Amino acid sequence: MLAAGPGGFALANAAAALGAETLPLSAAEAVTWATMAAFPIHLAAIIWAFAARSAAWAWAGIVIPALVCLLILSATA
Amino acid sequence: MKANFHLSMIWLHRWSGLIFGWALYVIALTGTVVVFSDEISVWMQPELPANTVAVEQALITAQTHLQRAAPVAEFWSITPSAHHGGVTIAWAGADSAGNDRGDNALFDAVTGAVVAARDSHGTEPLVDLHFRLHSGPVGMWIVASAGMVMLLGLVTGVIVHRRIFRDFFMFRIGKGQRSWLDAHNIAGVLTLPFQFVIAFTGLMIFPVLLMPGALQAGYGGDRAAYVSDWYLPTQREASGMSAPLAPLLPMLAAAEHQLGGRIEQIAVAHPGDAAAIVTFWRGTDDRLSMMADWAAFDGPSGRMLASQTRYPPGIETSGVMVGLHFAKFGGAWTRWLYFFSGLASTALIATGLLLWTVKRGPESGKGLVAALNLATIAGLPMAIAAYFAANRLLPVDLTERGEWEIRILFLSWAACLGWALMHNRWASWAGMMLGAAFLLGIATILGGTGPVTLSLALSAVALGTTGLLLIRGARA
Repeated sequence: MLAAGPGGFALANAAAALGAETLPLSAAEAVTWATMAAFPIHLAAIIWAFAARSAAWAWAGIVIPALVCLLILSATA
Repeated sequence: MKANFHLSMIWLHRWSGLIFGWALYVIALTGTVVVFSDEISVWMQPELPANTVAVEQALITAQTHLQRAAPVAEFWSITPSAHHGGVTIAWAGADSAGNDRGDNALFDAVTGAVVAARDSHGTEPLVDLHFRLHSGPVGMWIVASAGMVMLLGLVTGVIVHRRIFRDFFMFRIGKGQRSWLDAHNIAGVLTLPFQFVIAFTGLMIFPVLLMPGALQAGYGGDRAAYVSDWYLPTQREASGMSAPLAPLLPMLAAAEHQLGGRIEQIAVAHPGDAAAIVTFWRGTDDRLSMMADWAAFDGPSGRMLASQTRYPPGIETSGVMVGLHFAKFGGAWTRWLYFFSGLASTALIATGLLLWTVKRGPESGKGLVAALNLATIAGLPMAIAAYFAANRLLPVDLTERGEWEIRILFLSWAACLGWALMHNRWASWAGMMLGAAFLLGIATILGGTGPVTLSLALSAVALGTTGLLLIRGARA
């Protein structure tokens, strides 16, 4: 449940931040599109977390993509 | 794995539906009512001049009034109503005697007299319930989560009912739980596209507030900087040198021509100064995107300085999302479509909540769930009916009259909750439905003529019939 709600929210925001930094658009446009895309990402993360075989799987599916987003972010920054 | 996935989706649908069901019901019902927010708000102030007035006429009245009351102020704001014959005029700064003050009042756009309408907040408390459950920022987060849960419920609902479209053609009446489930499925399939759009676009009204990651990365969280990158009506400081303001009427004509639509609001920054700026905002009720185009004019000369009618594609897209949610774009038929879709969605949530208790039976220790169901599903319509009745019953000159209307809304809802916790029987359901019908009947009788009164009458009949059917069902 924690992985789904707050965890998914964190993943969606990490993905949105990555999108804002890397999308080949003006700053305002990148932020707008990345924010809109983050909502379906959150939704997908919630479904993943509840469908996962175990809590460990659920967390892995959330934390690993979020970390990858943050890693690329810090590499490009 | 597949069966497991299916089961976990059933579990997710059931529990997220229960926990957020009550909030979703409140959001859906109030949202359905405020589709006609403008009309209801006018109905709640019957003293307003009924006939709408051309923007030109309202602007002449406003400029005449403002030149006399506050010729050299910090700002003027003029908002001619599209729904009644009033114009809202606000200003702040020096009045004609040089004293620093301000004013905000509704004037008759033809006579220029202050409109003495009864104090009422119109649909404000219903809108407040709709987008933040009347509980400030905390409520907004609950509503946003509920929106997410609604999207989740739609997706998992389709997964749970693999045969959902076949079940759609099945309705078994009088079979208890099976009937509720059939009703739930029918309402769900019918409104699936509508709900998907309304939940997603609802989240798109404050997107960077709800999902701040991108804004944080792109602008360090500075929302004003982000907005000013694509929306920045011309501004400038006062010069300190005085210069008379040119007549606003020719500027209005130029703005209408430039923006191609009805002007919704006019603002003047430091009127009477040589650097005065007049800004016109175009209304958005005639189109999908809710981005308000603007045109700015030099105050003393009346020359157009700048205007904006185009936005980057992403911004335009988010403007369209907001427009799809507010449903102002397509005129009356679109709004009736939204209204009935909203009603069906409310029914979907209500049947879902009822299934939860019907399935488990009254004796299985789910008394609290059942009581909250009663207080929400039947109690909220009764509270809204009480709000409309109070609008006609409270003395017109009561102090804090508008506040009292809102207090009556919440006090009657609290009374319903108290009653539901003590006496949760079928008779209580019928009683609240009949009570709502009775209160709407009062509002109808005292409501004058017009489409809003007619709608209240029809709602009274619908709720009354439901109540009577419930009594008959309880006897049988």
